[in-house]
Amino acid sequence: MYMFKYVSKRLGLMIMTFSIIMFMCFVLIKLLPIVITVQVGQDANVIVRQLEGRGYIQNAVMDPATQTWSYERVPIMIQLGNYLKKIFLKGDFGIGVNIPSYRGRAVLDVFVEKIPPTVLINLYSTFIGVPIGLGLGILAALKKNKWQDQLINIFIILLISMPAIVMGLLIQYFLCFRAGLFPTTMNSGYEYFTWSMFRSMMPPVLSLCLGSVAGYARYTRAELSEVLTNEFMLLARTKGLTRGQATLRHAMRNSMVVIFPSILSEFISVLSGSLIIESMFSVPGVGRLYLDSVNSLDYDFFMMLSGFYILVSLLGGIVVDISYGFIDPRIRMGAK
Amino acid sequence: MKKKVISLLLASAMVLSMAACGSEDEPSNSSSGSESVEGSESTPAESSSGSDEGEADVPPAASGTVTYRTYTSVMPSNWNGLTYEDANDAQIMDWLGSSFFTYDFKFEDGKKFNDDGSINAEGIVPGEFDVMYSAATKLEDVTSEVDAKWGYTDEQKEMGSYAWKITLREDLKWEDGTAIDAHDFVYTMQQQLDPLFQNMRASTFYNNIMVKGARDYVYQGQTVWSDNGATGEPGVTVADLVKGDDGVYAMADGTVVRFALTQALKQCSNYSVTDIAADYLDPDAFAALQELADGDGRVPVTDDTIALVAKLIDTDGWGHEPVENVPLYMVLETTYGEMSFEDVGLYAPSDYELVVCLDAPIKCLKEDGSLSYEAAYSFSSLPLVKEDLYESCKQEPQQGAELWTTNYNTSIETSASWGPYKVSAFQAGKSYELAKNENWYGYGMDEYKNQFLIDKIFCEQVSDVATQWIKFLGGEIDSIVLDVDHKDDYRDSKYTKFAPGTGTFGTMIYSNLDVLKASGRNNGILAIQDFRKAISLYLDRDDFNSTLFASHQPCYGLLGPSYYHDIENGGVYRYTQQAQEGLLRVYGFTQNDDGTWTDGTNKYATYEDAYEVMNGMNRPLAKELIENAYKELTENADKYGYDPNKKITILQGSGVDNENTRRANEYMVKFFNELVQGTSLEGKVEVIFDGSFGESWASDFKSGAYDLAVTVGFSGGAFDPCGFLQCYMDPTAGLMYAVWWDMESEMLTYTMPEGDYPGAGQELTMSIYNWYCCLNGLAESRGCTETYNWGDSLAPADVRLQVLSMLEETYLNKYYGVMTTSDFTATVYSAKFEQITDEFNFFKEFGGIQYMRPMYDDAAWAEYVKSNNNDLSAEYKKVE
Repeated sequence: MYMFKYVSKRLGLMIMTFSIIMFMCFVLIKLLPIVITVQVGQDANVIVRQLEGRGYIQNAVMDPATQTWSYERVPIMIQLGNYLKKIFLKGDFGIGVNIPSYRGRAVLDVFVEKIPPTVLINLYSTFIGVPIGLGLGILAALKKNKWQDQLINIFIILLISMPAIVMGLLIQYFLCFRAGLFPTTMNSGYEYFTWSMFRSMMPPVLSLCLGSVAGYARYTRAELSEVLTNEFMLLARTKGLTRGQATLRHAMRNSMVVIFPSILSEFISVLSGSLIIESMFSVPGVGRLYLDSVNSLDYDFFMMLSGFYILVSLLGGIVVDISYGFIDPRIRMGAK
Repeated sequence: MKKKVISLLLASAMVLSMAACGSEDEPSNSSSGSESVEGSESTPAESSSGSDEGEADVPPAASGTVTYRTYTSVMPSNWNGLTYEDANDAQIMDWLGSSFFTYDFKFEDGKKFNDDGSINAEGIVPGEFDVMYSAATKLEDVTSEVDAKWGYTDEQKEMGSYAWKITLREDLKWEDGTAIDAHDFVYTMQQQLDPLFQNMRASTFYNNIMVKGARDYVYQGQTVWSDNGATGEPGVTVADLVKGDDGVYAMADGTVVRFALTQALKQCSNYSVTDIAADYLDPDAFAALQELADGDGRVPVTDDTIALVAKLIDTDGWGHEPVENVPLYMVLETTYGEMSFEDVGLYAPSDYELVVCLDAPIKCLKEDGSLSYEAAYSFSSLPLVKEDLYESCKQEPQQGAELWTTNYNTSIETSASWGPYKVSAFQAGKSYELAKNENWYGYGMDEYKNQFLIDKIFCEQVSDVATQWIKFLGGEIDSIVLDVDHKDDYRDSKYTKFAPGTGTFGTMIYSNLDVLKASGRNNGILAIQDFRKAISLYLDRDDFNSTLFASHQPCYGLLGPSYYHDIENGGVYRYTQQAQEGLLRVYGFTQNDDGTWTDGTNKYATYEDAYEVMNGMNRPLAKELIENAYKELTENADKYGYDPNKKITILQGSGVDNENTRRANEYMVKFFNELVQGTSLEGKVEVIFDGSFGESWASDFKSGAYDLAVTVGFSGGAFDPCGFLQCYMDPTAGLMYAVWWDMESEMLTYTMPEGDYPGAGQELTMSIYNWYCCLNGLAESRGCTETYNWGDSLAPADVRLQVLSMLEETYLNKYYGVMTTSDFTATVYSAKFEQITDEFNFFKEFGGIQYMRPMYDDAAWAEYVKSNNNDLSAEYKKVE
């Protein structure tokens, strides 16, 4: 019951926070000036009428002295009202108008099309990175200060000190180009669960996960080393548990209180995609979309993506908090 | 045992991850385009494992599926000819449509094919071209035959080239086999000009090809307020107005007239009354008018307001303008009325005939009745959409909007092709694939025999340059644009070809003193012409281009060597006497009385000799000019807002902050240090960089947000060098960088050459803008003071060249822009294909997809790449 109340309260607060942030996003992006740019061969009048026709501006006038256009903005609250009506009455999230690759396309369709590669690459990265990272961390903790620990530490330092872009370049050059183990770029198409597609995803997956491996290993080693020296571990051994049993049942569970939320939050944070890695391996993900939507003032894309990321972040916070209770029964949310 | 379990777990995890890396069943080369190819049955080419495959005498050996694989930095969003916005969109569009008339190589003795049916590559005449019928079978000039409603005068009928009848082939089909006739083109034009859509490419048909009624059809329903004093004289006087019962004046036909307070007016030097009121006009009258103004700053014309405006302008500060000038402050409301599409100059008199009626003539036929270059240039095609599909793709305006949109030609489902290829796969933001359109009429024509040998075109978005190169060297893509980082390795490769473009670029220098003074950068010196000239004379353009670009060439004028004034005879403007002499004068050469030229040190017998050695530099003079500028600056420190205790800061701006723009900044920092070294300005100038201006970089420069815009410029129509001046001299085009330069006020006097044309032999004085308009035949329609029409073929060609050169010289002598770079692109082509010629042809380049000869099919190519250990860099470094 406590948990139900707690979750309900958090969800209520989340909706309120979401609404406020979205409102701020809408107002702020609409406050940015629209630059009316005319290219050779284009008719400025057509460009201005398009902006007026989309309900963004009105009464546009060109100043011959500076050749720049001035206009009145359609009141932002009216635009907000239209935007909300569009979503809630018609389920229409709008169309792209400025991002060169997505003009005239429904933003929801584009998003739905582009999110799977980003999610899959991050999932694979997590699935590969977490066991290796935890395994190395456990081994290092169990062999603390022995040669295995030193070796793992060197490996971790190497990985941690190497930015993902350098890692990506090395993987691309040695594994893709020289060794020919993988394609240089991710395959085209929508069949994400074929061997060929999986193989083509490996270079970006490895680029992303090797950094995480080092992080998880370092965390795990530090937490587990500390827990292993606690007195309750001695108690566990004295009541007859083997070292392995004591480590798995008691030490690991305690150390996971810190490690597990970090895995979850890292997964959530990388849902937004990696701009550089996606660009390097031609992953058709969402990595660049958010940045482009701001640079190009593509309002509908910006709002759609803002909404998604804000929601994911807020939900992620709740899930992480709740996850503490499952890992460590001593923690109960909302209990007094 | 426990240790073993843990070790086993770890090892398993590692093996699992490595298995994903190591277990492969085929070589790389596996983008999806090639996958479809690898699956097909194909025979390896005869010479697939040798090293001489690229030799020109090896015949095409590919017998399996052949895919041309390329890349793009930005994927096209649509390939709709009605709405596309940029060159990225055109990369698909170009293959989905066809041309009525098209360019082809010119072959010796007209022999295009060898006896065995192959293309007579050796017979290609370098630099020349033919124009051939493709989707059309006949073109007739029907100016004197069309209906009187089109309003052609007897003179126009006699001159001809205003109305054209195009007869179409009867076997034109969409990719699904649906027949195409003339009515489809008429339907499409109506959609193109539909005012509800405000299609981006509608302006092509009233700005470039001036189809009668096209502009009015697009603009219908729109209201504009035009400046009554736009020409410097009142278009309407008070006497022309009629007073209504409410005391408000209007035109006799009901046109509404107002005084404008917030709209820029010619009489106020393109400022508004509100802008200048505080400094120059009567404050009481202005306050009274403001009270009477509506929300848009317009005041009804009544006896009272006429008196108020008369009082407003009768001040010391404003030179006591007389009451007769009151109408110069009026604006007239103009509303484009509704009109029928029948009044637009495109109709179909029969199923396979189209008639196009134009406002401006286009000479599509030569004297002998053969097609001129204009036929293929202006009428390469008219837009065409598939009616049923297009109607189903229309999208109603969104909530709160009025603009209709369409998703036609944005996916496979919404695509229709009548060109040589069709869309067979498309993934937004990732890749597309084009396959042969078996229903294309051209495949049945003898003229296209043994061409289009490529079965598929696969294009992937690869925006990272390093990845592009890895893919190219790994045989995964078939051509790549050479960049600075790779130029040393591949510039001399036998696979590299160079192609000139029409783009010309320079360093624009912000020079509006009022804004510079307020910038806080202590950089008023930029307003001193000597300083800007010194920049031009000190710059080593060869070094500049070789440092910053892979293949671009030095440029000294506004126009580069790709602008033809007479394409039929290969006449390039830049190589004419007028153009070269103009540049010689700009860069410090003078002509002696005996016709020889001198640069002050050496003497040259002809202008060609002088031009040959001209490099735009005179460094000793540049240093002198720096001293002059410094003297001017320090003696008039207040005027230039100069603070001797602060450094002069020159802000170099850019829309992006990347390796290239940073490199350009490093160059400019070094350049300015050397420029002022040893002068009084040494140590007093710093150049800083800001690459955060984004898409508004151009308007930010125009407003003075930064001072130097490096390597910016324009590409224009290759056959219209006079029209290209609009980028630098036509304020109405909205393109000029030097917006502070009032082209409409600054007068220019020039004595016209003798001849038989209006104004011949006269010394004429008019504004620079007026000169530009006369040269382009726009003076009358733009309401200029002088209305000479020296448009294309309306004045002798050498006279037009003379005026063009004079205007170019005028611009360059201001040094608001220091021209540096002419577009020249180097491309490395893969060994998989052979180009039909090594000589660049302006219309056909090296033959392109149409003439490209596959040396390997896809399977053989994969073998070849594998045999080279997936690394073709050694092959591509080979020189001839």
